Amino acid sequence: MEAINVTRLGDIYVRREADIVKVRDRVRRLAREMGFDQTTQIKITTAVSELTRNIYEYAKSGAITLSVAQLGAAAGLHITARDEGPGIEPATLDAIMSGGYRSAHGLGIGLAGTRRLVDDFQIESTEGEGTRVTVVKWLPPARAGELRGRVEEVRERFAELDEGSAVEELAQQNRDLLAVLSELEEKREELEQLNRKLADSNRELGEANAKLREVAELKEEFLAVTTHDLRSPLAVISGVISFFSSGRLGELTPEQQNMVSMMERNTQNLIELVNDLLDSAKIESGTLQLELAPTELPALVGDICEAMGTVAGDKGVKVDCHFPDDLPKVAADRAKLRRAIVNLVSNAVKFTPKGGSVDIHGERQDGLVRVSVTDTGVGVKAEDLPHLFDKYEQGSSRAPRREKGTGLGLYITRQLVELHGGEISAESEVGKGSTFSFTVPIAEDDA
Amino acid sequence: MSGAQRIPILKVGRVLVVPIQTDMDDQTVVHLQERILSELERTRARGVLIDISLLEMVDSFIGRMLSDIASMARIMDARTVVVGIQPAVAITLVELGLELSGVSTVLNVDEGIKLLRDEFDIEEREDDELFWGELNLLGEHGHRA
Repeated sequence: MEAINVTRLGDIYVRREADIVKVRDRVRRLAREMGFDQTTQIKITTAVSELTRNIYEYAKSGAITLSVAQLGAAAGLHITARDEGPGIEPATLDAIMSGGYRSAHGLGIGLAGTRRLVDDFQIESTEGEGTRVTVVKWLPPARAGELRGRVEEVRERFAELDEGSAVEELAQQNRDLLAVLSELEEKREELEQLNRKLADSNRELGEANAKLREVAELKEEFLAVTTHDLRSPLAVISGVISFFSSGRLGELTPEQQNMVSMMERNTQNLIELVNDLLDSAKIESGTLQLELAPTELPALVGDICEAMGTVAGDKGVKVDCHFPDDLPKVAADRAKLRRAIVNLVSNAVKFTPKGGSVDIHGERQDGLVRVSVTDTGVGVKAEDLPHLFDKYEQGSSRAPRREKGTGLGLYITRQLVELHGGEISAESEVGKGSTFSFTVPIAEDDA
Repeated sequence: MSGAQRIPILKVGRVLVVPIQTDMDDQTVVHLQERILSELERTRARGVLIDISLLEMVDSFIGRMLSDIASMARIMDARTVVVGIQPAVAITLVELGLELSGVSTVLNVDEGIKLLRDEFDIEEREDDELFWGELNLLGEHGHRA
């Protein structure tokens, strides 16, 4: 077939089973267009159907190339079927072509039958590389001349057919898209449902939250009322005790004195606790108001040092103050600031064993005054540091049981410092001691 | 493309009439084979009449399916007749080397019904479920070729 002049019309790809029907349809129309009679059209279509089916069954994909063949005065349809399938081994190929082969799928007559249906037949197959079958069906000489004169027209007509198939392909893609769309729609509905569920549980959470807030408010109110009611009787008890200890009710025996001082100490603890609770309730309800005034720290801290020094001295802990005289005045509520410093110092004394020392230090820093309280006490574990200023929090290893307080001290201190516009922080090393320090803004007229 | 095309199966008396009016993809052919067998079981029909007068091409696959339908129907005690093969298709089948083994072929539907009736002495009974409208339609097709 070397001398055959081939004018290619187009390819049809074979990838799906449905392509077999498509190829049949295109080839039948092309054969009619080229001027083959009806019987020959059917023969050609059947032959191509066999070739296409072989491609689909053995190689899964391939292509059919359709061309106009011209040889001398003759003209016809030239068809190439190629695939990159497993190929056919020579012995099997011989068997197929002699009609002795029976395949598992067809009747084993595909290729041999095809050869009988066409005029020229050529097969090349390489194992592992694929198969290429080329067939030609020639037109009767009377029709050949006509075809030779209108190869271009045939090519155009075939392209139109292919456009039709492009439209068909588009339609298929459209259907696929619609399917995907409806799937998406389903997904969207699922999502919407999920969303609704989420919204529901969100609302429930919101309701639960509101309830919690209500409970929290009730708790604060309860605290405020009860602590207030606790404070009055405590004041009376404290007053009565002071009558005893002052000796105005007659001299006490040493044993009685011991008992009275025990009562005094415990009453004092109770009063402190109630004050702490009251303060934290006030802070939380936002009713704690600061009366800011320029305050001289050295004087304030001097008082504290003196007062705490006495208590600490009894315990065998030394308290030192280092406040430079040129320290600027700070903008503070004197009583509240005092409270904050006293809390830190009494904490430090509480957690420092006999023979240790507590150092109160003041310095100017970045337009603020920093007050630090350093002790040589038991220290705080690193993992406890971040929670130290939380409500009711106490370092797990900080104090012996009898030293435990309410856990409100540092919480209140932080609140007071923050109300002043300062910051509080703590550094510590277990067994070596801790440093608690906070900042206070400098009074405006002293900045 | 997707999903098999629907080819009707009509019950006329004790015969199943299957008019194939279009080129079929392989899936449709396989599906048709299954449906014919299940209809045979359901209706206890004794004959299958497949009208391929509109089919312009029978390749080895479709040919094999026709043979298979005939063999399977025979096992289910039914006879298969293929009617209306176009001359060009017949020529092609012969050149292809395809014998429709086990399949009787006749020219048109009337002949096919007659053949099946003779074969099984099926009595013509007016009260049978006859779909005359469809049968007439088929008859026209049958004579067309």
